[in-house]
Amino acid sequence: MKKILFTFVLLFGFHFTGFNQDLLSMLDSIQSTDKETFYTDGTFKSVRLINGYTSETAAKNELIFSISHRFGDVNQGIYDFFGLDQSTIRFGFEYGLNDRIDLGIGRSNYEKLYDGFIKVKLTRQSTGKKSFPVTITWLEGMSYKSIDYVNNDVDYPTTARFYYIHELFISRKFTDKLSLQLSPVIIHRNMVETREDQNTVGAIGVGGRYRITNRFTAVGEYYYLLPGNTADNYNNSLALGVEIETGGHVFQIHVTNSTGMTEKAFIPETNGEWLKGDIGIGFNIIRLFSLNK
Amino acid sequence: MKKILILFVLIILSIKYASSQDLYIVSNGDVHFTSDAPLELIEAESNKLNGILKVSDRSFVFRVPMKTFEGFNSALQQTHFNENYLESAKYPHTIFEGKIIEEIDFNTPGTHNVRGKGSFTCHGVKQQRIIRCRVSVGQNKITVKTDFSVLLEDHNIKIPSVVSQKIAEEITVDVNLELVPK
Repeated sequence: MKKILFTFVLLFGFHFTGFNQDLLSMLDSIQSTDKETFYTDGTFKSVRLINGYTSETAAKNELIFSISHRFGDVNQGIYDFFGLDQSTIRFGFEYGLNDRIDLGIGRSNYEKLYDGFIKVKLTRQSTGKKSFPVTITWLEGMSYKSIDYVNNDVDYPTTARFYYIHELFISRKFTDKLSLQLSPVIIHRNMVETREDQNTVGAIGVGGRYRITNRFTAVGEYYYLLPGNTADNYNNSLALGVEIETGGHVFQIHVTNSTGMTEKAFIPETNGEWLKGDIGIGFNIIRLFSLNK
Repeated sequence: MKKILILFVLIILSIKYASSQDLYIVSNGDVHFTSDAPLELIEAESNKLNGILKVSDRSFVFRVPMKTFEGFNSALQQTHFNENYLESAKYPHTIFEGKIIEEIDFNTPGTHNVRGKGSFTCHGVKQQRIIRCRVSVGQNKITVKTDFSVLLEDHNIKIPSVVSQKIAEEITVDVNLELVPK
């Protein structure tokens, strides 16, 4: 009896003193990471992919200044210095009202266009407690063409100068290096050049980036025009480039067959054909200012 | 004889009870760091530090998920912190795991200056460190306060020369912890 009790006591004691679990794995079991929601950030380096935008928005009180430049077509040869003699520019500002809504304005010498837009992050890609696979950003934009008409005698209404853009950016950061984006877009034009032209044009954009090093990224963007008159007469926009990031700057250099730098211009009005060499060199310089302090 | 044995069993059981007080977990963990460079002061903090202290052998493990750091001077800076410098997707946590060198009586309230010795893992690089801290034992509560510095070079965190004037090579870290029995 005594012996039995004694072993019992020993076993009991042993059980509690000899129980030495690894503290780190114990920590995992007590406080699992599922209690936190981690929002994926840095899907793209900036608010702009190449010609189009990305699902990223300016953070609260951040001002993003971008200068975009497109040179002429390289197939113009030495007379035009491979397109460098001509240039189309756009400069724009984007400001974050909060971390999910931003406002933007821009001016381009292409048709003397003014543009303005609002971008709203509807969902954010996240892991952990609340997990969601994609970031969806909604853009509503408007452009105003201020260039004089060739024929000044005709009195067109002011509304004929307006263009409307409705676009969704659906993006996912698949790995630390690879992010892809799908962007369906509808562009409405109050006035078009001919009776046959579509007033409303739909397109689907695909784009992505691949991080080669921490600060050097390859980017690509393609907008596919949905079948119709516009798709028959114009070309799909394709742009390929690289991005270099230094602190608050993002410098993008690329080649594209589009001249315009706003949705209204590069999606339904791209004339250049890649195979014929109607491609131009372009760059975007994006500078970020934090107005928090 | 039997009585003695029963008493013995009771003693063992009371040890069992005591051993349930053996583990303390972090109920409130704040980490704050400062990078004081010639051209820019960067500060960020996380209150998501968690950890366990085992009183019987004075062993501990503390860790903080790098993505929970907030503050910084801009959202972009936070993105750069996670993407370019700490590579938080690859190395999600900074972990300090080891033992307290000094013997402390965790049963009576009091304040002790002690040293924690162990491995400090940040950005996937493990360093043996001895970190001084102040441990206050209270009623059902232990608080720990410490500050130490981390050299970026020690943890293979590379700063490009363009921003070398904006990021300090030595980062000061402040930690405030509150632990309660599990």
